[in-house]
Amino acid sequence: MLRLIGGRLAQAAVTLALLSFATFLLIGLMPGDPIDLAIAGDPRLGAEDAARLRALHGLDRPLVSRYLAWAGAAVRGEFGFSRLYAKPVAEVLGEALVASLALLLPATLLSALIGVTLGVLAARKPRSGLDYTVNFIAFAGVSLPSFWLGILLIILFAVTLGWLPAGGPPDTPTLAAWARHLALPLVTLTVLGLAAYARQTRAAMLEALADPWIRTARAKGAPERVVVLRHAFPNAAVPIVTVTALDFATLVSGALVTEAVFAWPGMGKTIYDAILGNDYNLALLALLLSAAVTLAASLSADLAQLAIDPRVRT
Amino acid sequence: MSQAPLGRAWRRFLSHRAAVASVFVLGAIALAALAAPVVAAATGHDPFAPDLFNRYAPPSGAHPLGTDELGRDLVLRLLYGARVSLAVGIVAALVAALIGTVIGLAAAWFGGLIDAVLMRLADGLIALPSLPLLIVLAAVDPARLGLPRGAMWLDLARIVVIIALFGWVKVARLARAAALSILARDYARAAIALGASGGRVLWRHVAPNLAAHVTVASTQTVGAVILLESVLSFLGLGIQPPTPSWGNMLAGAQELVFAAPMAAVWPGLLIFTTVVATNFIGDGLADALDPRAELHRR
Repeated sequence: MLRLIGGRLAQAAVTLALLSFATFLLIGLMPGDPIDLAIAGDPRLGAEDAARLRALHGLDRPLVSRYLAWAGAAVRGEFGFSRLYAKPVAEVLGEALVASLALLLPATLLSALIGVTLGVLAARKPRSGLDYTVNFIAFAGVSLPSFWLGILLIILFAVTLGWLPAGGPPDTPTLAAWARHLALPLVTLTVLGLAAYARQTRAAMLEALADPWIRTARAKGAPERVVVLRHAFPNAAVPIVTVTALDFATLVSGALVTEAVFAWPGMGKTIYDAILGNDYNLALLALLLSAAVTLAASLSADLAQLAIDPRVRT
Repeated sequence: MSQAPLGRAWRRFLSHRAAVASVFVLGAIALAALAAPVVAAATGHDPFAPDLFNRYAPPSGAHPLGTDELGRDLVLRLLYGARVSLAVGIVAALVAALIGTVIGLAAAWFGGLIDAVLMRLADGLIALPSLPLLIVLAAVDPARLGLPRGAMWLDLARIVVIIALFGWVKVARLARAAALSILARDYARAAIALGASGGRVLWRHVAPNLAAHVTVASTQTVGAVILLESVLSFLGLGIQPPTPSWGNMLAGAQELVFAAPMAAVWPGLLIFTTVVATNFIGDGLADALDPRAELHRR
């Protein structure tokens, strides 16, 4: 088991290293470098100054050697400064990560809770009205543009009813203000996430309920609640966990769009602003961090699977 | 496929009512999109020319859905947006299917190291959140790759390439699995034993048996691709205004959601309808072309 975890950690490290290299190359292909921007901001600087500055900052070296320099510093925990915020990149991202997780974690929990419940209920009575409703919700959730749902919620709750703010971070750091500002993005992301949970749970439960020991349990007179929760659900839990681990990446992507719609100051907005504002140090680390969060989630799903399913433990 | 199984597949598809209805809905949207220039000529409005005295006009005889933030007719903008969104969706899904099939076949045929590298690449792409990577790709400056900047076809081609770079994984896995099982069958082994070249075996024996799977998978990709295009355009990194796409229309409408809320409803509704329809058709095709699916559902 330790070997399995070690293997997965090594794999994640390799993925992150490759990703950082690929991103570094792509950023090299983006319009304008920091020196172009500095030159544009000061009319007294000419082409010679630009060349001198490039040499000074090492921007005239080939991309690969610049990458190695970045990676060397990164290993020591130095990720450079942010151009937009004039702060160390790690500091900017710390705040953004907290804001993102404040949205992502409750949304994941809520969508898992609601989605799994709906899936179990639907699987208990296939082809019933409830089953069709859950199916429709799952289908709609997969086909719904998340940003549109967000805008519809803004139209309803912020424009028409005026109950909730249309977006942005809370102006006062009280719990009530946080809740009011988080409500709409949270609902958006939860609806987006629960579709996959409901769909997977329904399929896994249908399969589990068809197992022979379910018939045995019913035959010995176990109440339906016990049959569903005690005998079927644990068997259905394994595929549910597997799929939701894969789906976490989708949820992170969804969170980025949701943040953009609601002007929520999380990772998504940071990545977006960083790329449009030529803040490459920030963009690079933000990207790696969101990838790392996703990989960590999928690793913890693997661990959860080890805990649930004794068969994988050997 | 001979005549009889095709007929059976057709009947199975027809029995999936939501899929059949979706074909009509999607057909209507596609026809309307094709007819966009005709509609523009008939109504005498220009979908690209601003009319600043007529901003946010409420629905009227001249503008059935009103006008947008620059006074342009919303119906026309939606129709021209449909051309872009549908074209990108279909072309990108096709390109992704092509890349996926080639990669899947290569992995299955060569095996060993090539298989391992290609499949680890696929695993990596699935495990990572795609949107931040797409944003980085979308921000790449075409001029640095020696391409002209700002041309409309380039906008379209760029987004197709970006989406296809991420969309091939599903098809590739499917194609690999199917190709492996076909290559293990007697007729494929016989062809290899008779000295047929790799290309011939893959083209004559594997590809035809793969067609159904790939068709289903790529139909199911179309919806996801349309969603992705709309997200990127919404973020301002996809199709650039004044060319309308449903995504960038929504971005324009969101900024002014307090002034004209309905302008934000229509493009999203069309995205939603289109994606639901393609997903239903994908479902119907899966039922029709995969005989085992029916057994599974009982």
